Amino acid sequence: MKVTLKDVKVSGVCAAIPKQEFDLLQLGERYGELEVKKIIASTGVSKIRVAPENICTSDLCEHAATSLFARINIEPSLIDGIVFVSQTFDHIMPATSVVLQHRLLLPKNCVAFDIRYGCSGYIYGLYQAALLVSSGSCQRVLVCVGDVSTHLIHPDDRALRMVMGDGGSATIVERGDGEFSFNINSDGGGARHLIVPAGGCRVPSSETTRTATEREGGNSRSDENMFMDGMEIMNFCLREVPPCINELLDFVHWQKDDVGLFGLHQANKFIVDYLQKKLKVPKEKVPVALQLTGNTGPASIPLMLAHEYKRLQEENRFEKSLLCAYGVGLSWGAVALNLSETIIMDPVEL
Amino acid sequence: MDVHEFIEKIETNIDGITPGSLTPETVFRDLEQWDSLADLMLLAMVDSDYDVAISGAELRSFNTLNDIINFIISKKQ
Repeated sequence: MKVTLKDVKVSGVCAAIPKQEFDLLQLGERYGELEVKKIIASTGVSKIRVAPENICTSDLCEHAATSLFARINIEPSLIDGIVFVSQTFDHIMPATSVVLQHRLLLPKNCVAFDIRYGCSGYIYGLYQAALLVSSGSCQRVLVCVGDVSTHLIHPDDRALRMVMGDGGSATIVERGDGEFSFNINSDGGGARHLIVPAGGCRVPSSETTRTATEREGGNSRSDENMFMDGMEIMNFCLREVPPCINELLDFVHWQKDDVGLFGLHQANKFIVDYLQKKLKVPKEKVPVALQLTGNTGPASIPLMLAHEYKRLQEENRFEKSLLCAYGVGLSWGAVALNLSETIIMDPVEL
Repeated sequence: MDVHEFIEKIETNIDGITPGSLTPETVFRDLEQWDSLADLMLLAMVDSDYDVAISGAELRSFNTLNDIINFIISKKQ
C-alpha cells in the first residue's frame, strides 16, 4: 500500500527508557566472556535498559508524553486522538490507549486506538495518526509506541536477551502544511518466525504453555515467551527492506542523494550496517544508536532520534527524512516526511 | 562461480578461522568457530555478493561448504 497524506506535521518526539540498566558483559560468567564479547561486537548492543515488573509500556509512554507536553507547552485538553502501538499492553481488555486517555487527562472527545505491532510499529502509529488528522477527524494526535519486550523473553533465551531492551515514546502529529508518504506491507506467511504462540484464544494459557523447556541452540523458553527465528528474520530484512525503501523513493520522486536521513529500525548493528551497504548510502545517513539501550522494538526509531538529533540537526539532515521499520507480522513499512521543524527531546528516564 | 574466492570470503568473515584451512569438503557446522552469528554472516554475504537468498531451512540442511556452493550455482542457472 502506498499513499501520500496531506496537511500533517510531526510537532514533537520524546522517548522514555527505564532507569534500570543491565550490562550484557555480566552474561560472560554464564556463556563465556569471549563468546559474549563476540556477540556484542556483532550486535552492537553492550547494555540494555530493563523495566522492572511494575513498569509497563504505558508507563514509559505516559512519562514520554507528559515530558513532551511540558516541552512544547501544550495542554492535554488540546489532544483529540491517541494511538498506542505495542505488543505489551496493560490488560487483555480494555485497550491501553483508552486507559492512557484517562491517565494523561486527555479530553473525552478523544478517539483512542490500540494497534498491535512490534518493531514495525512506529510507521503504523504515524500512519494511523496522519489518517486521523488529514481526514479532518482530529486536530492533534498523540502516538505512543513502545514495548517492554524483556517481560516476554525467557532469561535463558540468550539470542533475544542479548539484543532486546525496553523503551517507550510519545510523538505528536497535528495539522500542518506537510505531507507524509507511506509504503506499508504485510506477510502473515511469516507469522511463525517471530511469535509468542500461546496465551491468546488460539492456544490458551495453561500449565503446559507456561512451562519452559530447552529448545534449539540451547535456548530455553515457554510457549508464552517470545520466539524469534533469527535466520528467517535476517532473510526477511534482506529481501523486503531495500525494495520497500526504493519503492517509496520512486513514489515521492526523491533521489537517494537528496535524503538526509534513513532512520532504520534499530534491530541490531549487523542488520542496520548491512542494509546501509545494500542501499549504497553513506554511513552518516543511517544512524546506529543502540549500544546502550538495545533493540527497543517500536520505540527504536524515536529513541534513535532522541540520541542522534543534535548531530542530525547540525548537519541539516531532517528536511528529507525516510524512516523504515520491519518486524513481527511479518510487517514492514516506510514513511517519507520532513522532520526539520520537529522538536526532538533528549531521552527521559523512569 | 569462483570456489576459491568463496572459501576465502568465508575465512575472512568468520572470526577465528585460519586462512587456507577450509576446503569445499569442510563440514562447516562442525567448526568450533561456527555459531548462529556465522549463519547470519553467511546469509548476508551470499545475498550481497551472489544475489542469492538462502532460507533458514535450506541453510540448516547444508553440511559442507560444497553444499552451499552447489546451491548458489543452481540458483544462478
